[in-house]
Amino acid sequence: MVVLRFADGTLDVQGLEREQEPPGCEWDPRTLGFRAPARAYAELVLWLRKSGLAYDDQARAYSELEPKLALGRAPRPFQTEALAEFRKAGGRGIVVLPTGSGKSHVAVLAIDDRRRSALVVVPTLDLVRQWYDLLRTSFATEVGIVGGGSYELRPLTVTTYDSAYLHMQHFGARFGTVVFDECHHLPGATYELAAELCLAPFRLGLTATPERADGREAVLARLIGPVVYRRDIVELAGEYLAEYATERVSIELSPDERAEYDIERKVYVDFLRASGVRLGSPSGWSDFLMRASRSEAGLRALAAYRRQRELALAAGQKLEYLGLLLDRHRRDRVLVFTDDNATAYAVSRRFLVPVITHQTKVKERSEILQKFSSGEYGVVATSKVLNEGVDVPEASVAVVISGSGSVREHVQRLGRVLRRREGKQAILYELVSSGTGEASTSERRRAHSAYRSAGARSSDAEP
Amino acid sequence: MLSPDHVRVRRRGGELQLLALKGELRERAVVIARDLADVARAHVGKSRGELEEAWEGIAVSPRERKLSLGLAKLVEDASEFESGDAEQAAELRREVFALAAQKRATNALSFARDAILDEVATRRGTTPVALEAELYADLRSAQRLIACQAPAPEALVLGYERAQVQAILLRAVRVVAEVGCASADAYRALFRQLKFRRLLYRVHPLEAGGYRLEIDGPFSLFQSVAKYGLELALLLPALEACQKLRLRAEVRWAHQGKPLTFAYEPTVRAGAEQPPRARDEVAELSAGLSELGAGWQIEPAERVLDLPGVGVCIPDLVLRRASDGAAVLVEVLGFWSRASVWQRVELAQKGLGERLLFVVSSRLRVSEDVLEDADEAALYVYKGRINPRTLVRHAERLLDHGGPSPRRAERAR
Repeated sequence: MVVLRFADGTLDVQGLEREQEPPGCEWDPRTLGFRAPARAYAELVLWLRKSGLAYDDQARAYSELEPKLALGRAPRPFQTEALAEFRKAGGRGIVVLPTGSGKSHVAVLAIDDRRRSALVVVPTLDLVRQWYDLLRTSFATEVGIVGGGSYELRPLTVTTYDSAYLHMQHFGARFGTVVFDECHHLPGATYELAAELCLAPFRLGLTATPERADGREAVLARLIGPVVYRRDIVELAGEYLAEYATERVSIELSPDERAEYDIERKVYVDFLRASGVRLGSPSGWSDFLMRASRSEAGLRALAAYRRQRELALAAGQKLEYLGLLLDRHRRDRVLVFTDDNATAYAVSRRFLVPVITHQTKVKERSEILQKFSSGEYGVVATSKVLNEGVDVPEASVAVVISGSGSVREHVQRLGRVLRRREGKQAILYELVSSGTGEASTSERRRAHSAYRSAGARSSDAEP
Repeated sequence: MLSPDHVRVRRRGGELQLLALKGELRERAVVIARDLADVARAHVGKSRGELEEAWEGIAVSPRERKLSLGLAKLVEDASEFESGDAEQAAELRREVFALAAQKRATNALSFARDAILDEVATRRGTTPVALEAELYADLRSAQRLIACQAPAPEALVLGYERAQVQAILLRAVRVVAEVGCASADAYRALFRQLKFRRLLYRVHPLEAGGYRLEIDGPFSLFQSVAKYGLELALLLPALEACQKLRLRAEVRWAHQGKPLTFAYEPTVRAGAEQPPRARDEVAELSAGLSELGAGWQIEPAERVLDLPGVGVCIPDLVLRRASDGAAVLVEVLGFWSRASVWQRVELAQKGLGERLLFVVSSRLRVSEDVLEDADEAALYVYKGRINPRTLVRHAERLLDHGGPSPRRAERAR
């Protein structure tokens, strides 16, 4: 008799001869048996059945899902299509839909369709809270949470990628369906293990932007399944997403800032030239850090790099302009995005608006978002933690004070204001310090169809 | 614990080597350690942000940078910080932001920040400046240093050197440790840690005595992952407790494609200078057996019997019959758990290739019959104290017959 056991995120297979070579398994000399990543469970069980081998499955610990979908919200046509394609692919695949179009509802439909205990893995604690509410309402049942100080497992559970990486080896056998929200996070040395150590035969990935700068999106097919359905922002704008415009605003540095920027930039660039570091190469940045740490001149160049970047990203004029925008949109719900926490707190202190960073406790985050949603707060500042997924349909204005060159980050930030409401016209302002390295960063992050539409325009800041 | 960012290493081919602190640099390390601790003590009552800023002001050369950061981390670990009242700060923010939002939405003129702060400060009977300071009093940088218990500078530097090894192991994908323990209990402590940390291993005896342990985790079979790095790092004290230790680790360091090899052989080991001491019940049994006189030689066992996939068995004594040199290994389980007895039973049933006698208290409610069919192992269940004569009878039966236990045979007669 073949015995399957779930052993710390792997499958321990005893009772097979070495020459039988089950799929996805390797012989483990440490335990004198076969072993496979838990991900291979479905494939292995199908092989055992096909081979006519009797087996005792002690690995599977997931259950049939008892609660049925309680909220009968009619799916939109593209959501029904996405579910059909997911089903057709055997319950393994990725659905690519723009932010705000209702990806989460596709997941709810898929969980109900598969009827197995389900785990939803999300990138942030804000999303944990949001998914918790969604699942509880949709299935009218209690929902477990692992992360942010909680460790409560239930047939429907939400966790973060960090917690999934840490704990999947313990609870990876308890779910038959796993949903990876914002699944572009999954490829990577650590998070990948969350998918490898999970036994769930049914796997759904959700994202608006599967592409990654490092090209590792290719591994998603192995970890989750292929892309089974895809729709772009421009295909759904108007009908399912809010109409929107984007405006890039060039901001001049003050004379003092400009003088300091030029000096610091020169120190940094001169060092790069003298040391022969090519930042464009794959190891460029780590080469720079390594060389910078070896000499006084290097440390000075590193400090100069940081200062010139700080001047460009947090130019005083940007905050002046933000003041004008907040006045202009005093009756709208505004999200202010920054690249770093210090600027987010500076915005908060200067304009007396709430801020959400990784240091904000869950309870306070929830309260801020709830008050933002109800209109008690008109503005919320944040660094990166609200980039993804957080659902505030009332938000209609996004102001990007600073950010990275990541296309994904920029599209996700736009997505925060795209959830459709009657008569809503969303707008995203991007403040860019002219004549600095930030201008090219801005060019890089706008390389997406969402920023090439008719609604995109540029302007210079008013003096 | 230090992080890999605090470690001073160099790469030589495929090797990762710790940079030794010697000569002038060691003297500098002591000076830096003293400065860091002095600054911390001088900042008791001030904020973490202020302390960190003051530490930044301590002049160090580029080559001393990591050393300084590592020592600062150790001083920080030896310090106590107090957080501001998070509830109070959150309540203040609630009040300020709600008023600001209200004014912004209703006031047609430009936003008047100072007026809002004035209004809230007046309501609370404080000043706008104090109010601003309280607004984010619960942030990490605002935490107040209340005590610094950093050890003497020389001890801090020594601590840094030892902590570096553990920090490197955080990135380990596999560890090969050659260990030698002077007692069965020391081996047991090590294997208990391995089990507790859910690590897998292969055991190979070394010709010169001791064992080579190849340690990693379940998933390591498929990919060289640093997932088990924390467990391997936490295992280090148990490895260092062995009398002999030579360690080689494969580590994923920085952005190096292939893992590098890191070698470590401690010069001073905690507890290594103390002679091994057997548990009281084993020492008592050993003395009792010796008193029985000729016929049997008693010696401490230094064996690790491993059955992959099932577990290890670490006997306490070797009982050798003088007439023919035949030996029985004795493991005294005493009052351990029933689970440990059942694990030994499973090991014995699958065959360890040695004659083994497990000595178990009757309080564990295990019958000697469970191993009656085994040829190579037997259970001696005792009441009260272990009787050396009965134990010897079990040993003789095991060597001569491999049949039913003496008690069962007596009952049958």
